[in-house]
Formats: sequence, C-alpha cells, structure tokens
Amino acid sequence: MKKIVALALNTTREAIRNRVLYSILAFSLVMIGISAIFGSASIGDPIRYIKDFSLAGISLFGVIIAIVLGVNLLHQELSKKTILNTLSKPLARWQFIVGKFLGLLLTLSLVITGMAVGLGQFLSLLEGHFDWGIMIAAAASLLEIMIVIAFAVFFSSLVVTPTLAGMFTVGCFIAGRSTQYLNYFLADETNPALKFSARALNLMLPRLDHFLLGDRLVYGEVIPLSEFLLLAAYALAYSSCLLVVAALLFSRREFK
Amino acid sequence: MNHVLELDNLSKDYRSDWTFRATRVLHSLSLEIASGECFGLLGPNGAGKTTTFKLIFGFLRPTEGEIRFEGKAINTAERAAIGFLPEHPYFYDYLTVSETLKLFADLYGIQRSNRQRSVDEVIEKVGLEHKRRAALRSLSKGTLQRVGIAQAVLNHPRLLVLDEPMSGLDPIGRRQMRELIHDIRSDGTSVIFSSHILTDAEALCDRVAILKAGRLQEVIKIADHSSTDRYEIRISTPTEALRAAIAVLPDVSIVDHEESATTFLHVKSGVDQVVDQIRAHGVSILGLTPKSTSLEERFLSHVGNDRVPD
Repeated sequence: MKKIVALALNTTREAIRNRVLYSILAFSLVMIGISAIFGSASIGDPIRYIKDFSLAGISLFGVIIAIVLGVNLLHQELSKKTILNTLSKPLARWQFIVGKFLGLLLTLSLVITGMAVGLGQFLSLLEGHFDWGIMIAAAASLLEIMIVIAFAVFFSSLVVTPTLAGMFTVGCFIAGRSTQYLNYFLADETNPALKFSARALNLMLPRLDHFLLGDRLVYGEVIPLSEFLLLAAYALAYSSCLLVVAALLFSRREFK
Repeated sequence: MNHVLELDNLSKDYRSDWTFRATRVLHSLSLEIASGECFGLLGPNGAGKTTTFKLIFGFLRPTEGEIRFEGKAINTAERAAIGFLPEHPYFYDYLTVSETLKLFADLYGIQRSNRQRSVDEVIEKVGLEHKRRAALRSLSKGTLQRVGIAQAVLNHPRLLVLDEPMSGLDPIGRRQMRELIHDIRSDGTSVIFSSHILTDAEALCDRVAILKAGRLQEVIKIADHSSTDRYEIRISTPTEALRAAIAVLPDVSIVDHEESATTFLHVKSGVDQVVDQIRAHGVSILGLTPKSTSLEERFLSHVGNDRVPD
C-alpha cells in the first residue's frame, strides 16, 4: 500500500506542477464566470442560474481535465521512458496502475473541491449563507469523474496513442451521459438483434447521467443519503472493474 | 561458485505489429555472473545488450529460456535486491534530486524511519550534496547519470545492472563514473554493465562477453587476456645465416622494415631460443617487447565490419 500511496502522491505532484492543468483551470474559471454572468442577466432567479451554470461548468471542466491528464498519464511514462526506472523496482504493474489512478483522482478531488468551495463562498456573499448543496453536487461530479479517469487509464493501457485513448474515453463519457436515450430505443424497437445490442450496451455503459445532481439541488430537492451512497458504491465498483481489466492488459504489455 | 545471475538459453523474438512475422533478436544466450563479479556486455548497436537487460527486469518476456537471480526466477520481490540504471536514464523532471530519491526509496519499500538516512547516504556516495534541492530538469547529463546510479544503489543491491553507464559522458565524467562503479563493487555488489567503450570494460570488468546480432561470440576473462601471449624483437639487419636459423624455428615470423633498416621478429613461443640464436650470430638486439592481443583486436575480430565502438 505504501508503494501505491507514494506513486499516487507523485502523480498528484506531477499534475500540480504541470502547466496544462493551470491552463485548463484558468480557462474553465473564465468560462464558468462568463456563463454565470450571462445566466444572471436572463429572466428569473439569477442565483439559481449562477448555481446551475457553475455546477455544470465544474462537472464538464472536471471531466475535461480528467481526460487530458488521464490519457497522458501512461503515454508520458512510456514515451519519456520514466517507466523503466519505476517498474525496475519491486513494484507490481497493478500497483503502478492503481497508484496512477489514485493520484489523478486526488488531483481532481483538489481541483473540484477548490472550485466548489470558491463557488460556495461567492454565493454565500449573495445569499448570506453557505449552500452545502453545492458541495454535494460537486461530490457527485467527482464520483462521475472517478469513472471517467478509470476509462482514461483503461484505454491508455490498451492503445498506444493518447489521442486514440482520449477519443475512446470521450466516446464512453458521451455514451454514459446518454444512456437514458437508449431506453427510448429499447421501448419501441421490434428488431430483436438491435434490441439485444441496445440492451447489452445499456448494461455495459456507465450511467453517468445519474451523477448530475446539480439541477435537482438547485431546485431545492434534498438528495437522500442512501441515493448518494448508492452512487458512490456504483462508481467504486465500475471503476474497480475497469482498473482490474486495465491492470491485466498492462501486465502483459512489453516495453521495447 | 555462487552465481548471482544466470541466463539460461535465453531467446527473444519480436513480432511485427502488422505481419506478425517474428524476428529473433537474441539467440540462445547463456551466461552466468558470479557473486561479486563485474561483468561487461560488449557489442555494437543491435547486438542485444539492452534487450538482455529488459528481459532481466521483465520489460520483455523471453520467447525461450530462463533467467534466475540467486537461483530463483525474477519476480517483484527479487527486484528489491537488484538495482538498475537504464540507458539515458529518464526521471520526472519536475522533481528535485532529493524528492526523486525519496520516491524510489518508497518504491523499494525502505522504511520511512530509514528513508532520509538512505537518501543522504547515496547522495553523499555519488557526490550530489550540493545538488540535493536542484530540479532534475536543470541538471547536466553527467549529474543525471549520478542520480541514476544513486537511485539504483539506494536499496544496497546484491546485483547492479547498468545499461551504457558511460554513454554521453565527457572524459572527466567517465572517470568519475568508473570510480563510482569501482567503489560500489568494492562493497560486494555484483555488477553487470553494457558498454561501447572497450577501455572502460577492460578497466572495470573481471570478464566480458562479446555479442553480435543477438548471438554470444565469446566470453573473455580479462586477467587471462591481458597476459603476454607473444613477443616482438627488434634487431639490426640480420645475416643470411641468422635468417636460415630462424626460418626453421616454429612460431617465429620475420618482418623487415626497410625505412629504419631494422627487422622485427614476432615470436609466439621459445623467445629464449630465438634470443640465443640472435646473439650466436652476432646481431644486435635493439628491443624486446612483450605483446598481448588487445580487447579491441578481439572485439573487432568478432564484429568485423559492424560499427566500431568508441
């Protein structure tokens, strides 16, 4: 475990000292700010709009950071050959995969928490109190991001180029956010082959749309603890399955 | 004799990604490295040196054969007792020297209570005290090579594997690296390293293996190889009688050097008898030089027209 923690902390340190992270972070803050300003200018409750736009922005840019850093995680190790130093130590390859995954998850936790706390503080100036719903929505986004990171690590261990790994991860993210639409096809489809394919896809794809709690929280809905715990268990189980397969694939990989 | 490392009939095929055609890059390599020995792997580019090291650490899987460290197959646990310096060592360049070594200490499983002491020890050993807080991206090639050695010996390995440790170093850097390897070896660590630089191998190794195109050509014991195997006698112009007397002796050849009006006798055996003959015929001996076949000559006799090392 100590070795995994050491790798995870090093991965976080690598990300924190990476200028790409700050570029995306600065861009996302600007975009969230602009969206919120435009939203507040529209008819209706301006604070609700700010919350709505900002939470969606935090979720989306969190996912973008996860994909950009995630698909480069293994690629950089391989292209810079730093992996030869690391894997020559008494370290199993699955430990390497898990350490990298946890390091990126820790990085995203810091980023998401920072953005959510910043948003909460800003809104507390307008509302007069800190809205803990923002932190719950951010935590749900982080669970979704956990699955996205696992996909990025999985595809990185499978394919050689980060672009391809990135495209596959983005594809899975979009498909995961759209699983509800598969149900519409399932309801009306009569072709058994198509129905079977849609059902199989529905079973395999992550239900990422379930992690979007921002809308419900903005409208004052209380999220039951049991629902949140179920989401957390689902994210953990799905990510673990992806990591197990990623570790198996990575353990067979040769480094010429 | 205890063997720290055994390579038994080791072969490796690379398969083309598109045609799946296999190309053999290492052919039935068998070597045994004794405990405390310094062993050199010599060969031109593509000889199979780096492939051999990658097989040792599991970066590649052997197509045939076995690798044993102290009699056991090399798994994760065995790597705790082996240090490795890859060719052109690459590190996380956003880390400092101290951070890098702490990370590797954690990966070796060194206890937290001993970690700082271990890091301080190797930093002192490789002479990097003044660079402790320097970011790796700011370091020269020679200094990075020292960091590479430091991370490889952090765990006090029983076997140290160095892939081209002198590569890219200036003469001072090479000398320092040689001294460092010598010091590490004197601590009882067995060393196996690859090199393009024959003089370094000759200075450091007990034995060297010459590889060419993935095949083992010869294993040479440096101590035997550096002993005299022939003599060169320089004499003034020999008489015809002396020529006739020498012509009947085995293992002696005569080469006339017209420009200097001297003659060289190359003697493989019976040097006393040849000297007696020269004196008996009243010819002056201008010089007598013991000769040995250099490692370079042996190397070139195997690699032929392939690229000659530095």
